[in-house]
Amino acid sequence: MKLSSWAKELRAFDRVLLCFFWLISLIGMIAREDYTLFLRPQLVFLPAFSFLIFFAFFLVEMQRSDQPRIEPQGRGIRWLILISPVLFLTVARQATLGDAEFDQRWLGGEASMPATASRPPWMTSRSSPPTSSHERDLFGEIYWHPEPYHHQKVSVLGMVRRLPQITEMHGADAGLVYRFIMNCCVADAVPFAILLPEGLPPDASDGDWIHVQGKLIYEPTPPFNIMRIEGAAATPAPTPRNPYAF
Amino acid sequence: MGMRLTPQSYKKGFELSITAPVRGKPVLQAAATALVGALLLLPIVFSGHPAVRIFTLMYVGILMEALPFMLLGSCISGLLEVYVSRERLLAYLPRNPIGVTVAAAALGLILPVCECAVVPVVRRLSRKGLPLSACVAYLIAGPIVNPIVFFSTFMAYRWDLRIAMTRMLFGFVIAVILGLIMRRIFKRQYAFLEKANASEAPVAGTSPASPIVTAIRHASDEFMRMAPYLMIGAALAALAQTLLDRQFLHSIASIPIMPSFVMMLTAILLNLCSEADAFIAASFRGIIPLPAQMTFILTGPIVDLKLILMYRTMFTPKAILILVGLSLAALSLSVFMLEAIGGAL
Repeated sequence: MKLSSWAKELRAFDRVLLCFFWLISLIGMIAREDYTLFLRPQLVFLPAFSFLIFFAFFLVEMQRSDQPRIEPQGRGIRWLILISPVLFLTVARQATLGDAEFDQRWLGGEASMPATASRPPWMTSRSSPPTSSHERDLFGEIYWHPEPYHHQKVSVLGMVRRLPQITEMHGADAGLVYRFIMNCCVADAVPFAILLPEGLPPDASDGDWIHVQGKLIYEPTPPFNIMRIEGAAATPAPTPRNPYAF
Repeated sequence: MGMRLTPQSYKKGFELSITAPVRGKPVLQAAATALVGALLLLPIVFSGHPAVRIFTLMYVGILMEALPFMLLGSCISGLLEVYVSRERLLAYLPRNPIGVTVAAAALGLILPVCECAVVPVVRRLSRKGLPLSACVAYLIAGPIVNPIVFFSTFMAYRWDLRIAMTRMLFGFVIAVILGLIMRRIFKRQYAFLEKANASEAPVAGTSPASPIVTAIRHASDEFMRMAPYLMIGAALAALAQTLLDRQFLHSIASIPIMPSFVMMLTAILLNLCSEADAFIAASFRGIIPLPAQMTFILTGPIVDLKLILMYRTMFTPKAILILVGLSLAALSLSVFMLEAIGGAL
């Protein structure tokens, strides 16, 4: 068979192939929970919905793959653009937001604080501090509902960021422990930092993961209007599979 | 051979006419395809570079969130095509141009879609005979005046009803005004692309199929047509997300009015979903004045890079230029109004 014939055959199945690649990528992401690197876990229905619709497209495109296409202009370019997210997925899966993005996105002060002033009644029950264990990572919980944790012993897992202003103010063992909080997708992730006025391991450098235990203080501490953990005991921790808090 | 509707056949009721659509030489097309292919390989070749990795992360992240909504919009579009006839749609619409525009601006309350999903739906509604003013009104108001966006804004702003209501109100008013202005400007000429009113692939009519299969075929065609524009927009947004330093906003926060215009530009560049942008705007509390935050959440659903690209599947270049220009002018006016009422919010 000539090359042009192969190309013609392939063209007839362009949409089928596209749907197939999308389906494989989506099922892989859902099964391995890789979608949580891009979306909040609660939004699993988004890739699941996409999967169902692509499956329906796949079925109908299979039925009409023998029919001629009417507007062939730019089909190759369109196909390449449509497949690009699948191509980039392998690279994107290895990427996480880190120090550079923290510096780029962290606005400090009030901006690091969540919307908590007047929660509706149905969220009240979720905001009581845990009583059984303080080992659980509470970064996300503290971001959304800090008040119940005021003056409570907490445990958080996050990355180290040393800023000169903080070191000057509090000393060499002071710094920030931070994580990116994902609202919906990674594009809207905002860094949330907790101040450690003391207790940062001397060998911990920027971007290292640490596990911190101590008493959370939820009070403005100008000019760094952020929460702080007093009496912090920090130990190195392995990089978690998912670096984001939700 | 390409099948598309002429303005005349559009008026008569979608009788297909056949035209010769051959544009561009095969060699040039092949070269352009190769160039795009090479561009797409760059992030894979340079995957070791941190900025490239962040770009791909943002790109996939934006699409993971946006694609399902575009798929939903395409499905609604397919269902509209099969189950809602032109006659039935026109029978339900108010005859008065202002009435139909106002009704379309409020359509988001019962057909809530974000800006990624609204374009395929409006494309289909325009084919069904929805007037331009109503199309523009729904296009602009749909992603703002809807219950999901209302709730997300309400939640992001500490359950403050005033912020959510102000967003809805401004979105609604801007949509109605722009719809009516576009109607006046394009009274005697076409704002819609002929192509947008045509079948661009061998869909329903080519072989007998059940209505639901026909609807899915239409949805697939709609998606394949629209999605490349969304993906190019997402790539531009990912680039902006990778390069934009938000700390820059600190430096301009004290200059009067300036933060609002910078936030307008930021919204255009970031291309955030209208269902999530309030959380980002709220994260600027204490850094940027409230009117500027409001400008941010008003601008994104009305004008952003991916929307402008997606408009290309529906409007003529002239109509896009005028719509975007009018949108920016309306948003600028809103900035001054928001600054004036800022203290009351």
